[in-house]
Amino acid sequence: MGPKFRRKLVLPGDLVSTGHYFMGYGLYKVNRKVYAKRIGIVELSEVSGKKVIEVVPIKGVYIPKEGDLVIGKVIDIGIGHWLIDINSPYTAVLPLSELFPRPIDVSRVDLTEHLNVGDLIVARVIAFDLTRDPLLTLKESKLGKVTRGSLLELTPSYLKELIKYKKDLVKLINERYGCNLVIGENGRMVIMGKDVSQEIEAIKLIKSLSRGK
Amino acid sequence: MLKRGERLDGRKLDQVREISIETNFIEKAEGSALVRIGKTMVVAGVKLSLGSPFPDAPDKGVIIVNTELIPIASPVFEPGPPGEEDVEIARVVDRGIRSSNALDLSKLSIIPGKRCWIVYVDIYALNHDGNLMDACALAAVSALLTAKKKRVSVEGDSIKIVEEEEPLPMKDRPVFITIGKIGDNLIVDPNYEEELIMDSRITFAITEDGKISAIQKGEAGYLTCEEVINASELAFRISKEIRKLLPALPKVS
Amino acid sequence: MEKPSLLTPEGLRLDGRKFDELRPLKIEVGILDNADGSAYLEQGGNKVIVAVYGPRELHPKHLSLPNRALIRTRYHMTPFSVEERKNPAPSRREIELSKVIREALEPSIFVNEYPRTAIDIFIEVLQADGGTRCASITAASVALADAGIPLRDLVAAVAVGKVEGRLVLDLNHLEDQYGEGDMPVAMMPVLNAVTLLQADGLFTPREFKEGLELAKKGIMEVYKVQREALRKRYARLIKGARSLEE
Repeated sequence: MGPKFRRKLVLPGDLVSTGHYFMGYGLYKVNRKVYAKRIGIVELSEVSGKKVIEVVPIKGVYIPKEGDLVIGKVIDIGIGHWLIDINSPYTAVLPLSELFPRPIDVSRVDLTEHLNVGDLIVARVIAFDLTRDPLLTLKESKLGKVTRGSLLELTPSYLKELIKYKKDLVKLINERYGCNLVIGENGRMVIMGKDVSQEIEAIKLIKSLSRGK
Repeated sequence: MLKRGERLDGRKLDQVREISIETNFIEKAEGSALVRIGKTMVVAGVKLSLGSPFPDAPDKGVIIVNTELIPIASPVFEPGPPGEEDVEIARVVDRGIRSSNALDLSKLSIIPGKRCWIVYVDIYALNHDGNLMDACALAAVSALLTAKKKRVSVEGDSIKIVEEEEPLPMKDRPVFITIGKIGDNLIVDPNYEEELIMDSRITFAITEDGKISAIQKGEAGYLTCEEVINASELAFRISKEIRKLLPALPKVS
Repeated sequence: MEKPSLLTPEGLRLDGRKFDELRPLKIEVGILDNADGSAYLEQGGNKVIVAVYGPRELHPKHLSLPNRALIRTRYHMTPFSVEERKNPAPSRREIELSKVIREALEPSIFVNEYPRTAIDIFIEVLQADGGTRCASITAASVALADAGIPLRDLVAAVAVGKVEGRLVLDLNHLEDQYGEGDMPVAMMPVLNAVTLLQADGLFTPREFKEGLELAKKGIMEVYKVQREALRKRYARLIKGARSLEE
């Protein structure tokens, strides 16, 4: 029996299918019936040859996953680490070793010169298992402190739609405004251009897409 | 284990722990009761004072029920003002007594609109081993059933308190039965350990003639409609047994 | 004060309703900008607004639960919501209702998905006309869905009462005050789960069973209004998402 609500809007408690698909995100099962857990859109996809049904939520907080690219904001400096706000109920930790490959003397080095409260970083989540705070790394190319640019926040679920067309969007923004666009999984993106006015135009375009004009 | 009809303490699913009720042991109070259900222990005291009736019930007396789950009773109770658990028990016990008119408030008016008896029922938990609700209710009702108040004579606007004592105007003996749900099983009178693992609970206050005078579902789980009906039937049946342990209704002179 | 007669000779209620008729119910979703989820509800003279914040970080940290979200609920009536001004300090009734409302909503929430966080539900009764706890639960459930919080189902609630010997659905203030019984019920219809059940007054075993059936009927109607309100709000938002593909 096929899904009754393909590409349709579902609410929590809506019956989505009676059992011939693998359950993906946003669903739960009682006996053989599969129900939606969130307000969202039902999607059918194939993962390793299996037909998977899932609900893409329209709203919701960002829960980090290992491997996610995120855009974080430094909110505090601790002993041996920075605390990073990644737009999630879970505050992330960036250890000192991510910025300093060799051990340093904390009393001699002013950490704020390297990464201060309010700075933005593009990082990757390397560990998160719900019992501890998420751990971030900068040790990859294209990761690091954002030296200039503008930050834009959108709901993560909306972002999931955007990410499908990520390559096109990045290309579009680059061609039209000469800006680099980095899209994080955590509902944030950074637009980096040569000057602020171009960044503002780029942001306007992205916002208009999200409002569906 | 529950599926076999056994509980950790050896009881059957519908078996209540041993109950003991001791009344009138605090001489300074007009009424008092010490109740034990298994290891759960609760004390209730009844005090009377003269006061003014509520404006929307000028010809009735007033009953005020208060409950405190004090640190004496358990390491999980912290000192401080009454919390949501204390308030819940007090209000459910109050409703069960009030709705059944167990204490006939119309007989506690002295000068309608001006003066009446205020009956304070204060319940204190002394040892928490589960099912404080039923223990508190049992203590409150037992204390009320055996309380003694002074008579009053009214001459014009003045009230004279006579030394002669009489019982409170009690017309019913509501019994409260709490049923816990663990998985698909309904267990009567959950003890502390059972309360820690139960999904939800439901309390029924049943009057002498088998009517319901209060219901309270508690805890963050749920019951199916069928379980609710089954629980109510358990409550009806068991309340009859428990009522035999209560003091008798005082005789009206 | 003389007790008014609550039923007309034809068996209709003072406001013209039949025994199994709900008051007009209206729900608006997402009206508060700062809250993660919100809803405004009107039912008869009841006016209730609910804001949901969360899941969010819990401060102080020692209150947090290691493997699930902490649900906190505050039910409060504004001083001007009732005939005689009510003292704004939380009353014992508000304390009890905050607890039972939380316990009515929590079973619907997948709390294990957000360990160490808090989900806060704030309910403010702007005007009260009987059945405010049921109205609050109904509105709060919609606000939780609006916040994107994973739910088993919506929770819908209604109060059944006894008026001059008859069971009636959705008590208003007068019927609650002068009637012989009041039984608020909340359910998650999909799971046939009762999450709130209280009673006050005298009910025979039969009245209790019939009352539950009557409540179920009312709950299904409330549930319908909740779902329509959410669909209406979100259908607009999807239109926006769809255009991305163009």
